[in-house]
Amino acid sequence: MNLNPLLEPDWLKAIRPETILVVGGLLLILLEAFFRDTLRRLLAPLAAVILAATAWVVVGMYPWVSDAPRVFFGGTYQISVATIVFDLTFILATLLVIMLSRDYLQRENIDCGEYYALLLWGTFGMMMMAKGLELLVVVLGLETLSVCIFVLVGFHRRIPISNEASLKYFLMGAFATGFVLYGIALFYGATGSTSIPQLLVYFSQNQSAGPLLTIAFILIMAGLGFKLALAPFHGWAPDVYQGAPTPVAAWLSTAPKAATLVVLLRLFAATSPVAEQTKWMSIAAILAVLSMILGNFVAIAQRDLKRMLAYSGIAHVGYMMLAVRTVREDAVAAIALYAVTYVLMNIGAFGVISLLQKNQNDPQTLDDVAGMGFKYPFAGIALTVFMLSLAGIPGTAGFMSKFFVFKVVIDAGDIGLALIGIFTSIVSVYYYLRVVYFLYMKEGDELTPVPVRGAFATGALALAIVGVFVVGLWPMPVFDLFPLAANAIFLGH
Amino acid sequence: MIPTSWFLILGAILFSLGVLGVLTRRNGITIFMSIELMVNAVNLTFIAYARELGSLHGLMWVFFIMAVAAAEAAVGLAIFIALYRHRETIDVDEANLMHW
Repeated sequence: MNLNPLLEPDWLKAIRPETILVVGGLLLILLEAFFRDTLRRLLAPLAAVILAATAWVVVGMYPWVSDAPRVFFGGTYQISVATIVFDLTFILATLLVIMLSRDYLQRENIDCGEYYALLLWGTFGMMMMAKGLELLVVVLGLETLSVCIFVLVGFHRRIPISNEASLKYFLMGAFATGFVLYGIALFYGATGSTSIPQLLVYFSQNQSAGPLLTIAFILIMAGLGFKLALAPFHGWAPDVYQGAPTPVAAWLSTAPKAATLVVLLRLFAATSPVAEQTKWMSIAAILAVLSMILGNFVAIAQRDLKRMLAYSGIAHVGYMMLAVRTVREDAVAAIALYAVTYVLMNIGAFGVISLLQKNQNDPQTLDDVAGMGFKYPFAGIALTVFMLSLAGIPGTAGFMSKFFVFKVVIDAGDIGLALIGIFTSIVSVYYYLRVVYFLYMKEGDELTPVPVRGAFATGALALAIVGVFVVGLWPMPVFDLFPLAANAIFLGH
Repeated sequence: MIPTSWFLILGAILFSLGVLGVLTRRNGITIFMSIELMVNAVNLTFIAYARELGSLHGLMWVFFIMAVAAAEAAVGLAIFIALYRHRETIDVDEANLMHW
């Protein structure tokens, strides 16, 4: 590795979005500390403005990297069209969650500046993961993100299940990190490097990997599988989503998964010359198939909406994993589209649940939304749209992104896997439509919780609904960027 | 000079002991200590490989891993305290409010 401090001339410009996020988070905490009473109501709008500024800077980098990716910090940090697309996905997720959080936090009386700061820093961690060309940078981003999530999950600190969820996520997350690190250590020992481009060069020259690297690969897959909630490493997900404050569950079920999938795409691309790659990819296929089957079938048995969405999330990661494991260039665009879609529809669905006014220590079940559709039309329509999109009904974003994911899988020749995916996603229609059935066909009783509407949450839901239809009917802009994006992830090989 | 493989084997044993501890222990703090053991086994492996390969790269990893482990410990212990306030215990078997 080159240890010369070769700072590229415009390195400050390259990390401008990250700088805004980190400094913005610090600013929020300081404002909270010094002007608690006067500025408290402005914390969420301020966080949204910081995110908007970040998005603006990220978009402004497009002309800079539209021809070729640029790397910084001695080849460890990549800015490219692909990272711009994923950065915007993370920012969109965090923005929606901040808008949903404000009303929720005020109702639950836990409205604090640190909450928004942690969301911003978590977004910073995800950006590092997506941009890191050196596994050290990726791991640091992953840990920044994880530490933020540990705190956010336990943010509802007066209610016991939030504490418990935080404990579970912390122990599981730290355990998984241990596996990732040990896998990387073995990679380092075998290849002498942890930089993704150098791994690619090494593997192009030495194509037989040997058992040690296979073990390393399995360890990394297990660790990242924990973070992705891939079966059989999904055990924490339902409990954590149920216990976490609902907007946090929305955030943690979407954006971090997208960031982890980018890391996997880069890693799989780097190891693609290895002779054992076919064997490794069949391990990934087993995990994906298990996730799709287990996620979709166990979701049927759930009455708690947040747990149902947790199992549905396990299945959705399974679909995305099918595309990632093909290691084809068009998988990058399919994953990007799926990530945006999943952010819109899953955060939207959790958002409607977060409106239900009831004791957060009790589960939010199907009975809680019974009869809501006619009494509260906006919440009803919103939840219906998100459920249809999650089910993959044509016209919605969910259909479009599933279509492209399965197209990639079929083009790669994995017809069997694609069929399993399509079959399990047909099964999933049952439990998504059951929610719609409860919304409109069931009578709610007196105790049915009232969905509370605030301007911010309504705005977030409206934005997500519009997004679901825009992506569903007009997904081409993402695909226009695809050759450039694929080039950046696959390092032009 | 002690051959590198000895350090690697020690690292693998420590890592396995850590995994075993996580899977069998029920006290939250003991589980966390087992995780720390895993992380330190990783550090040992990195140092051993760095000496073998004659590169500083692995040593950089060790510094960052130590910093990350410290950050995790700070947050983790705070979580244990928050849980203890509610439950008067940090036994993970008692943390069973949520079920399938």
